[in-house]
Amino acid sequence: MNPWLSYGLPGAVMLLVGLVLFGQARSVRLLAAFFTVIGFLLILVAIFPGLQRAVLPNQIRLFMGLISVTHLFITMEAVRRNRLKERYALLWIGTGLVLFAFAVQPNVIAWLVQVTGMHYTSAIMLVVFSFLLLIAFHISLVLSQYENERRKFSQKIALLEARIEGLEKSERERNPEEDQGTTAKR
Amino acid sequence: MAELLSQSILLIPAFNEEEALPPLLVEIREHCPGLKVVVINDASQDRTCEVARAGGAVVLDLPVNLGVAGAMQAGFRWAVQHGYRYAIRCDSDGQHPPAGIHKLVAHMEETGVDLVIGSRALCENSFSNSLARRIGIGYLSVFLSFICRHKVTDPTSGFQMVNHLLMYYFAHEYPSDYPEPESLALLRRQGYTFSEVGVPFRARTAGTSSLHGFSSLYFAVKVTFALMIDRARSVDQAYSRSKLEAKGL
Repeated sequence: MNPWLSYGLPGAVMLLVGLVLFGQARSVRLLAAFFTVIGFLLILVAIFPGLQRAVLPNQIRLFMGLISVTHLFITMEAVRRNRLKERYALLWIGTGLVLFAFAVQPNVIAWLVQVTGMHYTSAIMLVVFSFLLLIAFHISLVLSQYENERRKFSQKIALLEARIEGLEKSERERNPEEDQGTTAKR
Repeated sequence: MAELLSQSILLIPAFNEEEALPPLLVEIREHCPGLKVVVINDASQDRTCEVARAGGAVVLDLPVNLGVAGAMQAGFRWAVQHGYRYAIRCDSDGQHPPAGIHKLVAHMEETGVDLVIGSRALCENSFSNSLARRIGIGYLSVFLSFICRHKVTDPTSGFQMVNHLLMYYFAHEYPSDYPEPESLALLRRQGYTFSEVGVPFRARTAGTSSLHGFSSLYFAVKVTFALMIDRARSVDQAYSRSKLEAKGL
């Protein structure tokens, strides 16, 4: 396979997209930087045959490592900018760390492959999937709790509103003249 | 009778009922003059709120839609706050004739139970439903009677009257999915009592029932499931009948 086709072309596209995005809104700047770096690396691989020989047998690991690092970085950024609460970030960071561990230490996943008899990629998918399940479950728990709280808040608001109305009404009955005065002023 | 009625509050949960509500409020005034009415507006998009105020009712205006259970709970809370001894619930679609309120009150006075339910099944000339719905309701009443160890003939009836103990309990805990059947099973476990009385229901004056044909059978399955899950839950003993009585409520 021509290295320019398999690495150079996607690399060039990513570099281009990254550079274009970088000039756009600030919110996508992180994504743009990511695209630019990956594109640049891919083009480097296409240029140097030595790099290709190093990359090929470890493609999955490299890919995973890249994904987990990006994932961790984005999560941390979101926490740092107060867009994500720590307690919801914990599971996400856990997922990123486990993925990263698999990328640097292939023995663990090799063990999982041996035990389950799955392929390497399926084993990774299994791990990722279980974490996503955990996260989804966590979100449903939080959602149910919020629904309970929302019910209480709405009821309380309605009761307070009715009470204010009652108070205003009795006030008006007690002081009809004064009330007319304020209405006239308005 | 008159004494009980004077200590009662009528709670009407309403969602988009600007058409059915005004005649209902007029009718209530005719049959039960002096009975205070609270309409709980469950975030309607139409003029339910204004119509209810014009009809002389106190309005609890929920900011978001909570469903009938959340609306009723708001009503119970209001009733507890204002020290009412009894709360009567009546649907806003005109199904529950205000003339039946006297039957509920008389039955409450007679039996002294915590909850009186107006049952359309115990009344011969009541408006009857489609076959599929009757099968679904029939099955549910058998199942619910078994769970409650007490005969239930109309498990989905919302025409009810509760006393102050149950009102207090419901203000704090009220099942949110299928409040009528679920609350029956729940209150029996807490030592409360209930009794049914025949009341002639009418065809609703506005809107359509959410239950018809196949969906009423599906409803029966969902309620069965919810009831079984409720059985697996533990109940909060702090709200049992004996505890609330000991608190001097």
